[in-house]
Amino acid sequence: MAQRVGIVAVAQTKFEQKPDVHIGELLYQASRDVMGQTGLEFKDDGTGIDSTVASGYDLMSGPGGAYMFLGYVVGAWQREDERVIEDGSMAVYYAAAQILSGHCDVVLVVGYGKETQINKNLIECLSMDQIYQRRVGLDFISSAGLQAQRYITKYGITPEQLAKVVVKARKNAKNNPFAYCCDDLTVKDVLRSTMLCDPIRVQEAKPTPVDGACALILATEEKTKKLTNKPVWLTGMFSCYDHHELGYRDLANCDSLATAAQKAYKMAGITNPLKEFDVAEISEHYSYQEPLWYEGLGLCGKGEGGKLIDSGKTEMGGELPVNPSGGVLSGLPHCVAGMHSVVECALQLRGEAEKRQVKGAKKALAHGVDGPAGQLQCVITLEK
Amino acid sequence: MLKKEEPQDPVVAFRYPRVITYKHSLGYQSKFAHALKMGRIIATKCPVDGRCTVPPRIVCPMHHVRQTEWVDQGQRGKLISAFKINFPMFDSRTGELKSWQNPIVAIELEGGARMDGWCEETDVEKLKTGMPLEAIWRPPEERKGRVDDILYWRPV
Amino acid sequence: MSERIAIVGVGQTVHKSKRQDVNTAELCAEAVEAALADAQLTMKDIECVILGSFEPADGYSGPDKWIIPELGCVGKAGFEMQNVGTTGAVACATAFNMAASGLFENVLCVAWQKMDEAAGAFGRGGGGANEYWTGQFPMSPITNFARRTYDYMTRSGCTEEHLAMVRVKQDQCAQRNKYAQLKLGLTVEKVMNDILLAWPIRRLHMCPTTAGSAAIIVCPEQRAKKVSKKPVWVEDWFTCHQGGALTMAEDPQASTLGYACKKVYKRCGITNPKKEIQAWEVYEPASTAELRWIEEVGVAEDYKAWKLFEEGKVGIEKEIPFNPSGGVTATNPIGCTPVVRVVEAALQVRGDAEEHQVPGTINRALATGYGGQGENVVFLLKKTL
Repeated sequence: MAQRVGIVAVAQTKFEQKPDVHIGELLYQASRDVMGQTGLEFKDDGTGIDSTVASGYDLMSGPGGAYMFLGYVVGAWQREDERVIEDGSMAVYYAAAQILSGHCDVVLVVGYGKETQINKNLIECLSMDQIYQRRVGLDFISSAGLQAQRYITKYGITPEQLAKVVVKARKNAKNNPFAYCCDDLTVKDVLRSTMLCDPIRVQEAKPTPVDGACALILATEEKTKKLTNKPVWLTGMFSCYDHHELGYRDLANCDSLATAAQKAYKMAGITNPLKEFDVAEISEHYSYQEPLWYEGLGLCGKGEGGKLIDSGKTEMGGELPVNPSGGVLSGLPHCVAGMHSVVECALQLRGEAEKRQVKGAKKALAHGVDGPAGQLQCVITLEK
Repeated sequence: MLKKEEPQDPVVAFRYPRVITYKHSLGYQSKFAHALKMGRIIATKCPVDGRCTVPPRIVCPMHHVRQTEWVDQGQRGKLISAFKINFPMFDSRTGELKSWQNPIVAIELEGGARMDGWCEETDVEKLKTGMPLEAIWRPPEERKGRVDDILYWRPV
Repeated sequence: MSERIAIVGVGQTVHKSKRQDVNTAELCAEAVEAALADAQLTMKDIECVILGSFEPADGYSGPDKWIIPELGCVGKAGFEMQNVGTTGAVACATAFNMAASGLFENVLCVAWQKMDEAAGAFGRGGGGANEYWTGQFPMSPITNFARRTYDYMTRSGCTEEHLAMVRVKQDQCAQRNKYAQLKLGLTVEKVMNDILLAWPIRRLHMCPTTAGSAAIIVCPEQRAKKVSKKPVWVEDWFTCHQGGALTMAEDPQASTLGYACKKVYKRCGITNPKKEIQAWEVYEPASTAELRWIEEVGVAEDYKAWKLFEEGKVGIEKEIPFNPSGGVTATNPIGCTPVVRVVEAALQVRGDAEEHQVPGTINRALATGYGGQGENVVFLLKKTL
């Protein structure tokens, strides 16, 4: 990258079910928080925020352009206000590109999700190919079930290993005041919970519905240094598409994630991710995804994800703590998950993660995912 | 693209008989909805320039300050513009295609806020910019705190 | 701008009301193939793909997921953008940003809409920005522009005949554009006797429903000079959104187009837009909107544009070459329409617009995107750096 992009401020709301709160209020809360931290407003003379990038699915927020009334909430009146309809990590990616292009100096990134107002599965089903896949009832969770089956069969991942992922997430979430689900779940509890979509059990899927919002402000290198004394830099990023038809790919591999990770690491000059990163926040909507994404992210070899979990290296206090915040398995809304990864990584690098702080964290790895069985992957690397 | 001589069955019609229910929360607008049940129209007021807005908004879009003051807008207003729809359009409350007899009017209320409504007078020719209109409400027991609790605007 | 960028390839499908011979992905592929051929590149060269489609008009949520593989873009970077009517414009802006960021050398931007598949339900209402507020009204672009036009007529004193003249001019232009959908051979009488939708908007005044797709390929300076003999330089752009959902009752003439244009002109040092910009591709969802848009972009005085039509000064070979392609009232695949504007503006700058080419050298062209109730995106394209 020709120049560096810095994170100036981050904010998140508490993630919980808030059926009585207007979606705009969630967004206002998060955006006002980051603007308050930096004292930045939307201004005409180039001294304020130049642009807003949001992430969120239209049909999730309401039928037909329902997001439109959200622009004014963040104050983007007569300003650049664009929206990525993918996971929040892609919004951060695009916001960084806006800054790198020289078109904007300071960008506000917001992500919102209000799952209590809609049945998520109904909308996710509409993402599937309409002639073949919808007819057989495929949606995000059934394709995840297929992927999990293929993965555990090919590499002999055990149910206990997958249950450990959930136990770790919930335990970590206890240190995170913003988390939705935090409890002392045991491996037995997970394995006893109802089967949702074989082999995924209720406790192994992302808790839903849950509401909340995230916001962050990105700026050019020069402005970041002026605006904050704890800058966090985006050093590498890449998003990558895989095949949509599940039959076209070996579901036990995640090629698009591997590509995205390699490209992002190359930009950041990372050669041994497990050693070089101090903390990682990855988006696992189902428990099987964590070991699988480990492999894609190059934290271990193919088929070794289960062993990495057993080794305890990714627990708090291990070599590379993964998801100190609890991650998606502790409950994050759709489209916010990946942005939340970036927010949490930034907090870790700033040393502001409080009880969930990884000591001396200098390099962090954030990851976001969208689409059935991890079709679209995004990797962002951060540095202090 | 298919060539002419190839067997053609290009169009597959699928119906997706599903109901997608959105449970939108009113949030800060619930105060407005409650006032509608009481037969009142209230608006938020911007602390910077005093401009009143219906629908009420948590933040003034221009000045980005939180709006906490509520102002009663009265029962009357003057007409800004009116037009009639001459073709069937969907009623998004029911999903039915139907004809619309009454014109839609934009009204500037006594309190300064602007809002839309249906007009009782069906002849657009008789509607003139600036003429006074008054709100005709549903009977109190039928009101649900929705904008259509105001049945019509009637020329005074 | 850290890196100057250029459009090196453009492509679009022939726009039709129905394209039952192809599915959505195949429709996109047609435009992509045309753009790649135009740029003399192959899909192997493309590193990043930006998609744009207005989902509710298509009946999908996140259609990029299944369209990407069909375009042969597996393993490439990218994502999908959406912003109601300005979807295509935002997709273009994203592609420009991606290319200018230095992250990618070849960026492809594809937008589409296949409105024959979703029964055109969107145009007839139900597209309200906020269900609680607009649920009681059958909101649509038609009602929106009925109000705008009514207001414009009261303020300017123009008559229905002038509105018809605008439509006739657009039709004359569209007849010379081989990609346009509606080529009707209109006269002022024909327009004035057409079905009245909501006075003063008649059916012919509104944009049609279209199945179509368009694509552009963007490269940074060095790469553009290498691959293209006729690169079209992107001078500046500005996406001006006002957060939507001003209820219809707010000032009907309130629009962000004037604001966006002033901002872009200032940044590019344009003082006399009428002279310095030689071709205009402006998104007018209703033909009557063109009157106000001509004023807002700085070509005519406020509420005087209708006189230009009376005097016959607007047209391809005339003083003001506004929408030489026939514009949106001739062709409107919603999410893709702004990309079509950029494609047409680029063709004008290159001098490749064939029959609807504006005579003389086109040094600069302006393209816009419009959405919601007053959201505008402005692009300035240039022949030389």
